[in-house]
Amino acid sequence: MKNAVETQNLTKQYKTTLAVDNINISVPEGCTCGFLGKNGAGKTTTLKMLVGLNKPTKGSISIMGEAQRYGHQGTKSFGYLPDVPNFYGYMTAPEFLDLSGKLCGIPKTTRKERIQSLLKKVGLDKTRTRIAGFSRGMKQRLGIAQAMINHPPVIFLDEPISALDPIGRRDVAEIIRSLENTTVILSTHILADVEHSCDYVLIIEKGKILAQDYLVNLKQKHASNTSKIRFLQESDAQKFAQKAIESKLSVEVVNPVEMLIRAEARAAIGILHTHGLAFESLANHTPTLEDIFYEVIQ
Amino acid sequence: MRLFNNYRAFLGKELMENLRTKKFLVMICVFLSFAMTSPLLTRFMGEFLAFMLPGEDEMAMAMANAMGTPTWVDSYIQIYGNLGQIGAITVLLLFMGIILREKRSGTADLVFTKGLQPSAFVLAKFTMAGILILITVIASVLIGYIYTLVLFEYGGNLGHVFLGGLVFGVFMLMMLAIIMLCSAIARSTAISAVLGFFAFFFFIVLSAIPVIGVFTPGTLMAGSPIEITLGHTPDRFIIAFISTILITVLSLLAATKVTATRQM
Repeated sequence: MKNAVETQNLTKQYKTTLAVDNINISVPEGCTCGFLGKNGAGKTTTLKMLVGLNKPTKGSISIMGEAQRYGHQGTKSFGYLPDVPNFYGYMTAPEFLDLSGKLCGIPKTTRKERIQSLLKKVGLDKTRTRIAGFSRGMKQRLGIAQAMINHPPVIFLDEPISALDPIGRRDVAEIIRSLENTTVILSTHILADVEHSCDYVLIIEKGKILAQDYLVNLKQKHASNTSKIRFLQESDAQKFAQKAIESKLSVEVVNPVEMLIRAEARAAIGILHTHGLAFESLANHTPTLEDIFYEVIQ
Repeated sequence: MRLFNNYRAFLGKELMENLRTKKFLVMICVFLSFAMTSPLLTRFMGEFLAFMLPGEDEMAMAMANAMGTPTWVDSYIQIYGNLGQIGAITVLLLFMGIILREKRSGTADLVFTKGLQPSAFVLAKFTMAGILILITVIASVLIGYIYTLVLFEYGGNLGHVFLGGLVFGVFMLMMLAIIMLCSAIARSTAISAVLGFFAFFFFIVLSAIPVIGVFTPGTLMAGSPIEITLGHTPDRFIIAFISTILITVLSLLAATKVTATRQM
């Protein structure tokens, strides 16, 4: 499969801070990619370099096979929603989309139709007020609509849901899930949103990419080393935990009779057998994205 | 072609912004009020002084006599004096954040990622603000002409008055270009305003320097509009005019360069 977004040795050095450190990203075409990292990990800086708003200190960027150069405004093959989208408050949503469409070179005839369909998609088709009176959620939805105005094959969304209330988050997440035939790169630090909306994951920490793969692959990779054991009695569970720690195995207690052991199932079976501990079930644990994230950044 | 289309699209946005945010309304109200009050103040200075100094009729009369009988030329001196100071400050206050505000708020990011070139961005802003400033200045000078005509029974040659206003407008356009450069360079609106004010002050001081002052842009605000209104076009005016255009163009080029390269 072709890559929609690729970078090679992408680096951003501010005066004394290395914000992005030599990263190589490959995001396959058509996927919804969650770009994960703590606050200040380098997500926004990376996205700004990808969309040509920040000049990389070194490295190269390619979007849909087209090399991106800082300050070079060509026909854009991507849409972009910044982390805090601000619009011209004196405009209405259709007026702003019309300006966006004009700048993208969309002919007048198709522009009007496209604006109507986008406004409907993001639920702003009945809104008549100027943008200055919009809530944060409405602004995010308008931001997504403007990013899609020219049917770009790639859309970059910087923290589109982080600052929204639960209903706003649900609405925006639904819009993102409904994007078809589009590669979406969604930067966020809310892991649950990525788990629900994304099929590909990039994890960045201190400017370095620590993991990048399909979510299902990451789960398989991290599942092989974790087993979940459910005991019949608390006393057995406690004894198992004690023996596992003595054997220098990492144990995480889920509840009094259930625990995760970060080792192959064989090691756990060995302890259970040696000490004659009764258990109800033992299975490879499928980790959540949260488990993977913490494991990776640690 | 794409550059021109983007320029045209952004020009429409700028027109909407200047009208809906009432910038144009504020500017035309300030300019017109000074264009209307200046001839009145000139014509009725004696009466005005008597009103301001009640019981001091002799002093008021002496001051009025010292100033002499006001003429239609005094009316234009008053108009350009007021427009030059208050007008320039109004333009500075209205447009000091013209580029900075868009870059800081992130609206510039949205339009740049749509393919808008920084040159089209700067030029569209300059064109629309410039057109509105020119309309305001010409309207003010023509209002001033009507008031002068009514109050002094002669307002000068209308063509000369118009040309005088146009020359003053060219100076204001240069100030606008400098304000845009300041707005592109500065990282806060306050710094942008201070830089713009110093630029204005610099040109005023420069125009007051003997011998060379008359060749500098400041003369387009101070002396040249009056001389042109009187029907004179001194040779030195051409040099001042060319230097004004040159500074305007250089300021716009620099503002474009800074807008394209400065990362917020």
